[in-house]
Amino acid sequence: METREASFDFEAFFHAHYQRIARTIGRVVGDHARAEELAVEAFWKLWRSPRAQGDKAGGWVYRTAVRLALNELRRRARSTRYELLSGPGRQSPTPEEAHAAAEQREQVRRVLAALDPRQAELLLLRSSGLRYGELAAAIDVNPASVGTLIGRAQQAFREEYLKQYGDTK
Amino acid sequence: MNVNGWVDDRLAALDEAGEWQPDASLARARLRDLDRRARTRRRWAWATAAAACLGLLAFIEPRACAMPRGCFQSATENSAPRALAAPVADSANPAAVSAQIAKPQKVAPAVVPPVAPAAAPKTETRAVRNYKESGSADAPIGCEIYSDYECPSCAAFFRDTMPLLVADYVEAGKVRLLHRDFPLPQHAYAKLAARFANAAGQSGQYDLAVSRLFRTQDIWSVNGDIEAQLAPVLPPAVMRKVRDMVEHDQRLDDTVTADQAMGAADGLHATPTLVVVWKGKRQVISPIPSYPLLKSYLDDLLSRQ
Repeated sequence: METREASFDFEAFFHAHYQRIARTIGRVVGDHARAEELAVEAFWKLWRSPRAQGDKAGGWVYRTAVRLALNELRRRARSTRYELLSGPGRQSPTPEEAHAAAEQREQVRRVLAALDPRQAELLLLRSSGLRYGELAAAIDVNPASVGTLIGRAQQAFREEYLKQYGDTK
Repeated sequence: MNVNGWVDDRLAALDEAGEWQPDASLARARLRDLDRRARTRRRWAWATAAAACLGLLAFIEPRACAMPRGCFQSATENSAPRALAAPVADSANPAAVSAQIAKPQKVAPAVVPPVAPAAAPKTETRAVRNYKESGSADAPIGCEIYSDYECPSCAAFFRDTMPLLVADYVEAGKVRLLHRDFPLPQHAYAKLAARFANAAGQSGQYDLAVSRLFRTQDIWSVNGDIEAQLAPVLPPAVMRKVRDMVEHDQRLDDTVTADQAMGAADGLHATPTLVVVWKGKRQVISPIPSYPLLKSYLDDLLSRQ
């Protein structure tokens, strides 16, 4: 594959961001193999969108990756197979801890799947370590309003969580 | 209540304890594979689209005139439409080829005394046979143009392509040109225009009349007043003779009828159509391609002499 834009080094961008993107997706879908597939899909979309290549490619590809992950999450939520795909991350020291951690992850994922997609994207991007400026670029909003949007998203997350599981702590 | 911290705690549950290293090299290979497949799909899509376009051009018979690629004979007047370019005459059947080649000589205007064209070929070695022909009789390639005076594409061909063809090939002695009349039934005045042109040809003014007819096509095709358009350019004596012939000479249609019979034998269904005669083979080309493409085709034939 040759790089289309002389000013945009796709190869370097890919190697700089791939692992982080894949992990971001992996946190959401809980399936490493699927996460890597979706990460490739996100970069493929970037490759096919010359207009997205450039200074804002980072935000663009993170937003795309999170969107793909949430779509996957919602697709699974609608599927009867969901419970069987609860993720490979059962590597905690004891079976009880592993079970508790897995259950906690699934609860968070169900809540995210039920949230407004834009709010879920925002929370996931933020928890993936993106700064306010990067977040603003990723979701295409004014940096000054990012804080407000995050606050609302957090509030919505908490309400949805309590609605589904009650005040467990 | 610190909602910020509360949410972060929940979201932190998504982090798993295991050390997972996404495989970037494998992902890169997948991307390359996707790219390769997409390119293949695009190539197939383009090829399919191109084939579909060619198929449409070749097999769909337009019903109306003023088509950008020529005027088509109505279905009731002719057999099935021909493809873009009919195959070269069957070289495995010399008798058929000879019969086809022999036909033009039969249909040439027998009643017409030979009249040299306005611009005599530079390398001509033998005179052309009649007013419908131009160029050297010894030219290796024959180009027969079937046209209808009321066909807009024919007018465009005579305006844009014919001068180039004459300058590059006819005057150079490489091509012998033959004009054939193929008036289509949907054109009310096409046959009358052919009568005027042939009458003018018998008075030595064929090229002038043909040029005028095509240039003023938009005017006379409205009401059929062809005479009004020819009168300003033909000498008065010639015009009188032409007028008289068009009104009274029954033989004037003979060459047109013969050309139409030849066109039917060539499988014509549209104008303008070019028939290239080379080494005894007749290649029907319809629609006529752009001049650069036609030029490359003729050059290729000449290079194979």
